[in-house]
Amino acid sequence: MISEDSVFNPDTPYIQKGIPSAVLGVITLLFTELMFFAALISAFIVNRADVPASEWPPPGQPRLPVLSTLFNSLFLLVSAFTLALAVRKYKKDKKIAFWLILTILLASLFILLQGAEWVRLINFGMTSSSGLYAAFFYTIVGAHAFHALFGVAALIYIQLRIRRNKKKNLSAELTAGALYWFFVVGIWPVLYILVYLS
Amino acid sequence: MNIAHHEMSFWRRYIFSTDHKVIGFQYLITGLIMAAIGGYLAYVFRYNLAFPAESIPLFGSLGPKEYNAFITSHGAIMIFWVAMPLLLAALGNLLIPTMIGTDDMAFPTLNMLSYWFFFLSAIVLLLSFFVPSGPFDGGWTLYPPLSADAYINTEPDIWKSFMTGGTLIILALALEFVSMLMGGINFLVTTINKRAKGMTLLKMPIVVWFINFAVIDFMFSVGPIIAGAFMLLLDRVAGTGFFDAYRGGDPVLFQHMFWFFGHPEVYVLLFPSLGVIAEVISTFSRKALFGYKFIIKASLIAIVLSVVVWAHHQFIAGIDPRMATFFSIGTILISIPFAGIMLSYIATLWGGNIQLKVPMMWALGFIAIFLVGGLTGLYLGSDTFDIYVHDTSFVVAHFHYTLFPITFFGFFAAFYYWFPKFTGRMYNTVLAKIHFWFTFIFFQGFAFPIFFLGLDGQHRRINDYSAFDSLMSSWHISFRQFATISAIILILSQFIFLFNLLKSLRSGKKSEENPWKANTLEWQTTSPPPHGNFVKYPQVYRDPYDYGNPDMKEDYLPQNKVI
Repeated sequence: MISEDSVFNPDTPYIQKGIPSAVLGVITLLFTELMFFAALISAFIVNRADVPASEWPPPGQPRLPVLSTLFNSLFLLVSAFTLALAVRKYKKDKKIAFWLILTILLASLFILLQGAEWVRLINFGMTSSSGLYAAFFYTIVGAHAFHALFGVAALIYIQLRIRRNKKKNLSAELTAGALYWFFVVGIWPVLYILVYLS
Repeated sequence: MNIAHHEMSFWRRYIFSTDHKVIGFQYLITGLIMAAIGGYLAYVFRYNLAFPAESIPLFGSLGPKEYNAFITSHGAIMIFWVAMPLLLAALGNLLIPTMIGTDDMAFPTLNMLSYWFFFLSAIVLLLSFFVPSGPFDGGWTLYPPLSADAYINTEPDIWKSFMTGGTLIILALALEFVSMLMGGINFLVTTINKRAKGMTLLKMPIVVWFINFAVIDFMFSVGPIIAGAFMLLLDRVAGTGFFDAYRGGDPVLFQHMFWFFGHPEVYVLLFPSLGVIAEVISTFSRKALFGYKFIIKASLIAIVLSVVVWAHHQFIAGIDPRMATFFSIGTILISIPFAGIMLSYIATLWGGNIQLKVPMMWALGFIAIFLVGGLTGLYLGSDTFDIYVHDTSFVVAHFHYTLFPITFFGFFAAFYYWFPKFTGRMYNTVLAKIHFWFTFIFFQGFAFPIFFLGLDGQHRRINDYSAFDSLMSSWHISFRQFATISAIILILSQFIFLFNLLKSLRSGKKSEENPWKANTLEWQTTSPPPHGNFVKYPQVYRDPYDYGNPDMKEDYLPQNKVI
């Protein structure tokens, strides 16, 4: 016979001990996101394999800015580092506005610089309809940019919530947002090597 | 806590509700309306097949373009806007929180958004019937080059190229996947975090396991089709040419991205249905489900196998024969876990104290019909056979023999089983039994003849066989007419269901809390459950299938009963 647990209160729904719901939700979402990018990457590899190396990038098309993008990527990588610091600091004293806002600024800088790069490429005459090379570039990097924008929006939302509820423990929300951002940062080197260097 | 619920306006309460039961009903009603539309389309093109060039009652005359548009829309609607909302979304929403003994989903607002994305997707799809190009007519699988139509790419006006059937159906699908993704995350997190005290994973009702298996399979496979749909959309509106062979793209690539999702999708629909059948069979055999742990393990194996079988849809698409062999083996292997699950159900019946109530009839009907579908699947899984019958009516009959029982027998078993619980009223059993027999008999009358037509070379997606002499002998014509008349009776007999549903809602007799004397938690609260589901949240002491315990006076023992 199981003994009655004193902590159990039949007036409120029971919550199992374990990972908080917000974090678990983001983990399951990222699982799907991973498959989404895996599909884009495999589509790229399959099509890339059919084209001889001398025609990739195709003659007459602008080269991708390999070095300046590498430089932009540093902002993104550092933003993951500052966010990790914020998450660690939140457990101690909740005063993380500096690190969180720095993360948001670095992330926004990355997105802005990438956007400027796109404008330059379009001015060079590289558009979505000028061939597979351009199409894959805009689709894969664009999908990543979309995720980065969403991630920044989520981080801003979390920063606002932390500011409004100073007493409440929001570590689950913060961890969830951070996990999403780590995914955005983590997938970028893979995409960079694939799209810019192959 | 939940008794003192706050006053809410009509809009918050019934339209933009965050209550899982209201959302479940919203999915259910939308799914049934879409089923009526899908059924009407089926009626129109089946009539045209049996009596070509005749005017169709309640429609008019059907040209080849509309014929193709109608079969395309019928397929897409039945799978994505009927089976998905009814089996996954409606059942998941209604059953998961009540069966695991909690008040609501883990993310109620996300749950509401999930429904409204779904609603929007249905509207976008139906919109395609009213644009100048008409609904998409290239088959529900959206294969390029038909779906990446070149003339649309050169359309200078972006709005015009957007408002075409092809673009709208891709957009609608994308919205639907986002909706089901939000719902799926909710189901998974709710099941993991909000189970009642004492309900370990292995004390969960099997249908909760199965709905979550469906979610896992869905989440694993949906990414690639979102990517594929996205690329196809860009091909149409931004001129990218991913799937345009002329510009270096690869049309077969889309088929891979589609079927990587499209095949697991069959199991996404099958799993919830199998769960319902297991619950019903165990309850009405008054006997514990045979091999509870085995069923879970077999399903896990099936999930792993389900993502390595997709190319069996593409045996004639020019894939490497060595690859075809690999996918043939995978396809035939996957029937082993499902055969095991079916045998567990039959073993549950064995020696049970069987009560042939309405839900039980649907469950047994499911097994009978689904076995035919499963067995013909073995033939089709083998590439050597598939190459000859590919794109014939044999395939059509096969997937109707699988998807019809999955969608409708599974759904109706669930409907007649849980209707008293969620509405608080009982339906008319005689009408429900008549509904069952009409559906069971006339479904077979519709789908069985098509096997023979297909084996004799009747190609699908042709609106009029008059030009093919070998398909116009008298038996061909009479088989087609027999199938069509059966299909029409099948559709008409659903009005029995509709009548019974509406009448029972208005004036059905009040249902007890636990009319079937079942063990799971949803039966241990009032019918219908209050806002928040339970007045006192239950604690679970035992597994859900403790029937016929010799130490007890009653033959059932609810999960939360203290002894």
